[in-house]
Amino acid sequence: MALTLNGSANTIGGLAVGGVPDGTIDTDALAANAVVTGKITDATIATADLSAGVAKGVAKAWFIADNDGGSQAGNRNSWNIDSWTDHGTGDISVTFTNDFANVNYVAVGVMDQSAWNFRWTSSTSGSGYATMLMTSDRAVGSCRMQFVTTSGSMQDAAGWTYVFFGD
Amino acid sequence: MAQVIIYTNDAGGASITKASTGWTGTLDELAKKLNLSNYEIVDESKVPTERTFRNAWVKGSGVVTEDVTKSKALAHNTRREKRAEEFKPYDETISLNIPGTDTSAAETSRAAIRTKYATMQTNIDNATDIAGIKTALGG
Repeated sequence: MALTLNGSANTIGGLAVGGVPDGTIDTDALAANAVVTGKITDATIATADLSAGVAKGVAKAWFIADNDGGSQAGNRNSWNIDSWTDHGTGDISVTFTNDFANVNYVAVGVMDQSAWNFRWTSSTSGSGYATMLMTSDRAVGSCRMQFVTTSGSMQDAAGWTYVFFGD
Repeated sequence: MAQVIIYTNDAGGASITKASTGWTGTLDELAKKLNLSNYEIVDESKVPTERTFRNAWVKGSGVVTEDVTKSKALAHNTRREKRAEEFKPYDETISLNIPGTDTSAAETSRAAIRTKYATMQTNIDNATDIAGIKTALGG
C-alpha cells in the first residue's frame, strides 16, 4: 500500500509495521498515559524492569510441599525452586533456579501440623512440645530448613510452606 | 514412576533430592548443580515411604534402606521419651511431696512403668527387623 498523506484529516496512511524506526518516536512524542498495561505483553515485564522498591517487595521464591516432597519438589506448588532434598526427619533443603545476590535474604516458613505442636508450654501436663522452625545453611543458591522441638530433636510435619524475599 | 537422586549425606544418612516441575535439565545436571559426586538416580519406588525411622535410612546400591541398628537406637530414644512422659506426673507427686497425695501409690505406679519399659527395651533389642522394632514400640 502506498503511503498517503491527508492534509485535511491530518492522518498518514499506508505506514507498514516497522515503518517508524526505533529512536524516531521518543517519550516526549507520546501523550501522557498513552501506553497502558493492556498494550504490554506480560512476558515483557521482568523483575529487573520494576523499580527497586517494588522489586524488593516481590517474593523471589516460594514453595508448598508435602513432608517428603512428594514426587516432585514443591509438589503442591512452587516458584523459582529447582529441587527439594529430604535429609532426614524434619530436615530439608531447596535450591533456587535463580540465585539470590547475597545471603542476606529473608526466609519465612510455616508448617502444616497439628495445633498441639505449636504450643509453647513446658509440657508438664504432657500436653505437647514447643517447636521451632529454623533456617540453617543459608546460601545464595540454596537454603536448608529444620523443624525442631525444644528437646532438640527434629520432627516431621505434614507439609512445608516457605517464602523467600531478597535481592 | 518419577526418578530421584539419592546420596549419602555428611551425617552418614541418606538424602533424597527431587526435581521441581520447573527444572528443565536432567537429573545428572541437577546433581552437578548440587555439587554431588557420589550419587545414584533411581525410581522413587526405591525409597521407603514409611518415616518412623527416617534418620536410620542409608543409601545402598540403587536403593535406600532402613538400617536396623540405627532404627533400634531411634526406637530407644522414643522409648525413653515415652517413659519420661509417663513418669512425669508421679515424679511431681514424689518430688514435691504434695499434701494429700499418696506418694507410695505414685512409687507403685512408677515401678509398673519401669517394668513396662524394661520389657519394651528387651523386645527392641531382640527385634531382628524393622517390623519387629515397630511392634516392640507398640506401633
